[in-house]
Amino acid sequence: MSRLLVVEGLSVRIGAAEPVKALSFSVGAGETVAIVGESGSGKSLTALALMALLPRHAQAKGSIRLGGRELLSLEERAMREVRGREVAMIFQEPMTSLNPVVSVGRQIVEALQTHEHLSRRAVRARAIELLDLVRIPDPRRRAADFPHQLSGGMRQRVMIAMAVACRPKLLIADEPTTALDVTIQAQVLDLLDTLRRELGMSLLLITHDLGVVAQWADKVVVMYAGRKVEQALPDALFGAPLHPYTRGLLSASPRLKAGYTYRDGPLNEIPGSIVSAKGEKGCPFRPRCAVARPSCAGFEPELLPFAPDRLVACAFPPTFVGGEIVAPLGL
Amino acid sequence: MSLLSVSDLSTHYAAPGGVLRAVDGVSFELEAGETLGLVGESGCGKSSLGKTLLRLVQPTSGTIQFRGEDVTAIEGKRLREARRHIQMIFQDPFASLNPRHKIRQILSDPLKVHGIRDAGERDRLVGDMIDRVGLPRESLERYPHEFSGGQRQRIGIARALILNPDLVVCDEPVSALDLSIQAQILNLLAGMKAEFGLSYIFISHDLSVIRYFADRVLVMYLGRIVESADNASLWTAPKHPYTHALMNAVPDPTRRRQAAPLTGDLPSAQDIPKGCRFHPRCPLATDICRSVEPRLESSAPGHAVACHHAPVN
Amino acid sequence: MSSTEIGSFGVEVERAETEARLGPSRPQPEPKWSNLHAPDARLACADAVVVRPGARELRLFVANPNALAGLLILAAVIVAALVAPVLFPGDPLAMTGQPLQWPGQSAGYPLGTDQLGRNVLAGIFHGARVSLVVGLVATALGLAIGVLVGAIAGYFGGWIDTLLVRVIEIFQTLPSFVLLVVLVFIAQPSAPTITLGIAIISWPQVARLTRAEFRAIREKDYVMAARSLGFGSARIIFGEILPNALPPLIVTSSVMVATAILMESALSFMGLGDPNVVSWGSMIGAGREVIRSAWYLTALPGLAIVLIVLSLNLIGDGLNDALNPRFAEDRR
Repeated sequence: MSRLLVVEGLSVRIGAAEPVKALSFSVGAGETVAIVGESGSGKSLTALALMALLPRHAQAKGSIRLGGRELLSLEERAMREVRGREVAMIFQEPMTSLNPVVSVGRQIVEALQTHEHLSRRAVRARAIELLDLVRIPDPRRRAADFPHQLSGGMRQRVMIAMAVACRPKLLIADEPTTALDVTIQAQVLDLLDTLRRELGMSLLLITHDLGVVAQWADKVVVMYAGRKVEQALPDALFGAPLHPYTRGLLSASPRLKAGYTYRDGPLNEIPGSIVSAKGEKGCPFRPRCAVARPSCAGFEPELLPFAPDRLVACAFPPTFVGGEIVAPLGL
Repeated sequence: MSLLSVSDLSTHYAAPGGVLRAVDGVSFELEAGETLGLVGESGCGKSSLGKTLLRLVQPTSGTIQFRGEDVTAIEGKRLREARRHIQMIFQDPFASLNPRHKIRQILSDPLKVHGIRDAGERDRLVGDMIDRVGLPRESLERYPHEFSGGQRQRIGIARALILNPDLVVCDEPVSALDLSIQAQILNLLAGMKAEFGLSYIFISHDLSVIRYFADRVLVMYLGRIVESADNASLWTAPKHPYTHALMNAVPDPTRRRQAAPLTGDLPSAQDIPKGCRFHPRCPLATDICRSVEPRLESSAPGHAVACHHAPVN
Repeated sequence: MSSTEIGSFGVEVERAETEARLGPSRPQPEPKWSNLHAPDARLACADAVVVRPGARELRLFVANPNALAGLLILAAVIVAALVAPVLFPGDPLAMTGQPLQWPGQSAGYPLGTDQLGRNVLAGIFHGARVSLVVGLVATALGLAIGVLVGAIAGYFGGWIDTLLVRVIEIFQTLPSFVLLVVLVFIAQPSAPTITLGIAIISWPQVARLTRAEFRAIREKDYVMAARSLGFGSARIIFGEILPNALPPLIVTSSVMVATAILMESALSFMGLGDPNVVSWGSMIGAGREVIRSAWYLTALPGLAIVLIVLSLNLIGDGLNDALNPRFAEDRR
């Protein structure tokens, strides 16, 4: 599979802090890659860095290659050609991401007109086609509606329509369903997957929801404190998580323990929070890690490959998983 | 006698587009020591129900009996007395604490209001409570913005429990928290329940959390209860089509890339469909569903459903 | 080397290690839930610098050169007002010198004298007292009335709100300065009546602002929490909401002081000021007739007014920048 997006050594610096540190991953053509992390993991900043939409006081270093082209070295003007046409993004809160005083049809038209040069009638027709593509009922009438007249799920669909208007090769979805109800979430995720297949797009899904990842992703990248700590295919990740953070997350999640209630016992919690490691050297997860050793405070663990597409950044990963011996490659 | 008994409770709001029937005829009982889960999506009225129980919002009709007393319309001193015994934990840890107050004040003001005049006594109770929720004593001299979401939620829990209530309404207490922190707070809530002998009404849209935490579950849709069952029965044998759809919509690794179970949007509580409220989205809808609203009827011991097509015993 | 075994979604960890570090992972049914202690709480609290609300804003304000300049000028005026009776004892309205001396002409009168031989510098210093006192007291009074009315209207809503809004509107439809003139004229000009008059015309603006803030803050979760805890209305209004409604009020108050000073000067200029005290406005008014020949008599007090109004506006801008949360992100 050809690799559409290759990110290597991406670091984002804001003042003295480094919220994204030496991040590397790739997205293949037509693939859905999920980046999983909690608040403070740096996943949203990564998405903004890919779009060159970082806040003014942030600096990005490293390499982001989209279809072979290096994005970080592009001037703003050139980047504007890339945004929308090659890579597009949808955000978490559709109400604040859509212009409240412009009708949704008009907003889609604007998105189209940025990159395509069609006659006014053609653009309008295309906008209505797009509304239909994202399964908004009665698209001709809906095009005149304003964002506040639509429900959350519909607004998210409008945003998706705007994002795919110019057929980008990569769609970045930053927590696209977090603000939606669960039945609407399912619809939106289904839509994203359908569009991915129909339009031949790749999808970079940024989320904190493990269930979403399990159901929809082809490849999972787990981020913690700005670094990639684990990467795997979903089956492997959920069947045999190797990094203590991933293991902790999965065991802390009530969803994945059928029939276990609070009367049976507590949930396995990860103590502390992301600020536990502020200003400390060594592995950022150490203060919360169930299997940390004293030496973990001395150095940051490297990402070691355990299989093709299976990486773990832990100095002392488990050696015995599901009855089999597990070891990093090359050892 | 139940701790809480709600009968045909309704809360309607006047809104520009018409009357918003947030809670529309809800009845249930809560026994002491029980955790009742309220689950549903936006617009189902679960939050409004919670606020109505605390009289933060005035009920339009119906009655609320709490600890044997009719609290639906009490005011003034009686209301303040009743409020000692029923408290709330809020969803947004960043908005539920007054940013200008130190934690000590946030925890001791309720004691002051309810007549604990001795400052030493208040300090003792406050210190004790902050220990129990797992925060160090230095926290008392700090301001809310110095804490993370999970820590603020602990403070919110401490505040709710400082008056030693009998019933705590938890309005989506972990929804705004990271997954790794959710487990901490859920464990804390379970611990507090055992320690203080509390009863909970646990409101959430997250089915998996409800599955872990509730003894009995009420499923709400557009202001009404559509299914009521104890936890185990609900998960093994859900009877209402909406409950089915809710469960199927939860992302699940075993259902890779399957289509969404429900089409259509959530209707607004201002424009409630005639007949069964769920019929526009229901795969089982027939003529009777479009004209007659089904009543909540028992279909198995401890299991009630409001659906024309549910099997009835 | 220890090994860990992983089942499908559960984790079995090295018991001894974790238990030694975190306490038992399964809760023992006993009063102290030791495993619920959040270790990060200690770390975060230890690291966190105790930043009281207000300290950050103060720092931002002081870092703003315009605001600092304003503060310095205001401080100078306050000092002048305080030392006036010491530097210039006696009545500044006393006719002690040769009339119409230019500034610098005579050693004892650095800023000259007016047509009645009164010391201009003494007048400036003493005038500062009147301006400051009237400005500050009128503002304080206007704030007190406005906040009270606005808070009650904003918090209670309903018919109380409707009624109070009508009252505010009545006051706002009357041209404020004209109303002030009428009030002062009827009540006989004197410093107290002027102060009261200015307060009466300035409270509606405060009330509007306070009402808007209260309506917004009333819906916040922490106010709902206060209600659910059984707090009375007075405690909620003054203890919970008002401290959070302060930022726009603080900004407005500095501008209100400037406006009050201008109003007092205008009244005095027109001859409706307190006849027993020297005020910058009255000095300008008195110098009106000889403006062609002795223009310093109007220019100097006029300059004083400009300086104090400027300083208050600079302070107001500085406060706005420091207190407005929207600018906080960009600055870092």
